[in-house]
Amino acid sequence: MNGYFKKFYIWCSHIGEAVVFFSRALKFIITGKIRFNEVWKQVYEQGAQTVIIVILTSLAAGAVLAMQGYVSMSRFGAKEYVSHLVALSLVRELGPVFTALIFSGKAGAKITAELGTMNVNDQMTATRAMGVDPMEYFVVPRMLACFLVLPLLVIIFELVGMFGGYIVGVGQAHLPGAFYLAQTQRAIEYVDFFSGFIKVFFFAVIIGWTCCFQGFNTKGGSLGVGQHTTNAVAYSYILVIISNTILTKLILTIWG
Amino acid sequence: MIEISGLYKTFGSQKVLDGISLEVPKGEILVILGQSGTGKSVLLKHIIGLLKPDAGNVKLNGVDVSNLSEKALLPVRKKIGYLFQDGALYDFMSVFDNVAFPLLEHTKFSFKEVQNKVMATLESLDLHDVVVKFPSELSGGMRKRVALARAIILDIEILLCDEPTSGLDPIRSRDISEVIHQVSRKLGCTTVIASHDIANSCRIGDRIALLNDGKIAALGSAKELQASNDPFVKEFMKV
Ligand SMILES: Nc1ncnc2c1ncn2[C@@H]1O[C@H](COP(=O)(O)OP(=O)(O)OP(=O)(O)O)[C@@H](O)[C@H]1O
Ligand SMILES: [Mg+2]
Repeated sequence: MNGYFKKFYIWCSHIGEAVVFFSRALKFIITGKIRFNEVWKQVYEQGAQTVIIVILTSLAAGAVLAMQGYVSMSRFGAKEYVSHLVALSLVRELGPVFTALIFSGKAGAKITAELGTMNVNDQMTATRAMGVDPMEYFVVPRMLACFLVLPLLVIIFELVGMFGGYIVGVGQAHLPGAFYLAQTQRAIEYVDFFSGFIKVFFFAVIIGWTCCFQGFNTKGGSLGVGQHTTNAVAYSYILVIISNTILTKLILTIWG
Repeated sequence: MIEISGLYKTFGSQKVLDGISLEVPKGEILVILGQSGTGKSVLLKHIIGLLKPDAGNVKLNGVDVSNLSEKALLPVRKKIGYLFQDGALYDFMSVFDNVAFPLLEHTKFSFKEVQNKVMATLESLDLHDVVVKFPSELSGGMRKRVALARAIILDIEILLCDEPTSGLDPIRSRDISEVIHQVSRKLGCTTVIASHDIANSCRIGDRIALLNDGKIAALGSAKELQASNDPFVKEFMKV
C-alpha cells in the first residue's frame, strides 16, 4: 500500500512539474520573448521531416477508405456516396488523429531526443552558463513550431487523402471525375471541417508540451535519452487518443 | 573579485565541499589544484551559480549569487566566461557558430564585426583551419580550445576554466595556459582555473589553492607551496 502511495505521489509531482513547465513556456510566449529565427528553423525541420510520411499515409488511407466504401455502399446501391464517405471521415476524424499520431512519432521523438541529448551532454547547462535561458532558446521555439506545423500537415493529409479516394473512385469505381469532385465539395460543410480541425490545436499543444517536457528533464546518459524519448511518444500517443475521445464527445454535443 | 565564504555542499551522503572560504582579488589568477574527484568542478559551478550551496555563499563583485534566482543570474553570467571540463559545445553548430554564439546573444555587433572577432580569437588559439567543422569532427584537444575560445569571446570580468589543459600535449598545454594568462591580463579579469597540471599552474597562477577532502589544504604562491613542509602538499607538488 505504501509503495502505491509513493508511486502516486511521484506521479502527481511529475504532473505538477509539467504544469509549471508549461506555464513558464507560456509566459515567454505571452510576454513576446519569442525567437522567430529559431521558430522558423524548427517549423522547417519538423515539417520537412514529417510531410513525406503524412502524404504517403493519407494517400493510402484515402484510397483504402474509397475501396471499402465502394464495397459497403454498393450493397445499399449508393456507390455515388463514396466521395461523401471519404471526405467526411478524413475531415471529421481521420485527418486530425492520424496526423497527430504520425507527428508525435516523428517530430515529437525528434524534439525529445534533441533536448534530451543536449541535457545529458551539458549543453543545456552551458547555455545557462552563457547567460541564455534554454527554455527561451530551445523549448519555446519547438513548442510554437508544433502549433504551426501540425495544422498545416493536417490540411495536407486531408487534401491528399481525398485525392487518394478520387483515384480509386474514378479508376476502380468508374465514377466520373467531375462528379466525384462536386460530390466531395458538397459533402463537406464548414461544421464538418472545423469540428475536426479545432481538435488539431489541442493535439499540437499536447505533443509539444509532452515531448519538450520529457526532453528537458532527461537524465541518465544515453539510456535516459532512449527512455525519455519512448516515454514522450507513448504519452503523446495516449493523450492524443484520450483527449480525442473527450473532444469528439464534446464537439458532437455542441455542434451535432 | 570573488568572495567565497563557508561553502558547504553534499550530494546525498557524500560531503564534497566542507567549509571553503576563499577570496580572489580582481585581476588575480588563482589555480585550484586537487586530486580527481575532490570537488574542483563542483566549486567552479558554485561560483557561477549552476549549483546552490547547502550553506555559505559566493559573492561576485559584491553580488551574492548563491541566493539569486535563475532569472537574476542570467545577466550576471554574461560577464563570466566558463570553460566546461568537457567543452559542452553545441554539437549541432559549426565551430564558427559555437564561438559566435555569445556575441550574437549579448552584443549588437554587425555580422562583419562578429566575424572578425571570432576569427581573431580562433587564430590566437591556432584553430583557423577548423572554422567550418563540427565539434564531432574535432580532436578532444581541439574541442577544448574551441570551448575556450567561446568562453573568452565576450569582454568578461570573470574567467572560470575547468581543466583547460587536460588532454592536450605539453606544447599545446603551455600555449593554452599562455593564452589564458594573456586574455586574463588584457581584460583584467579575475580568473579561477581548476587543474591537475602543476607545471603550467605554477607558471601562470598568481596563487595556488590546494583542495583536499573538501577543504583548502594550502594556499599561496607557487614558490610558497613548493617550499611547504606539509607532507600532503609536498607529495602533491612533487614534479
Ligand atoms: N551532480 C552531482 N550529483 C552527485 N554527485 C556529484 C555531482 N557532481 C559531482 N558529484 C560528486 O562530487 C565529487 C567531486 O566532483 P568534481 O567533479 O567536482 O571533481 P573534480 O575535482 O572536478 O575531479 P576531476 O579532476 O576528475 O574533474 C565527485 O565524487 C562526484 O561524484
Ligand atoms: Mg572536474
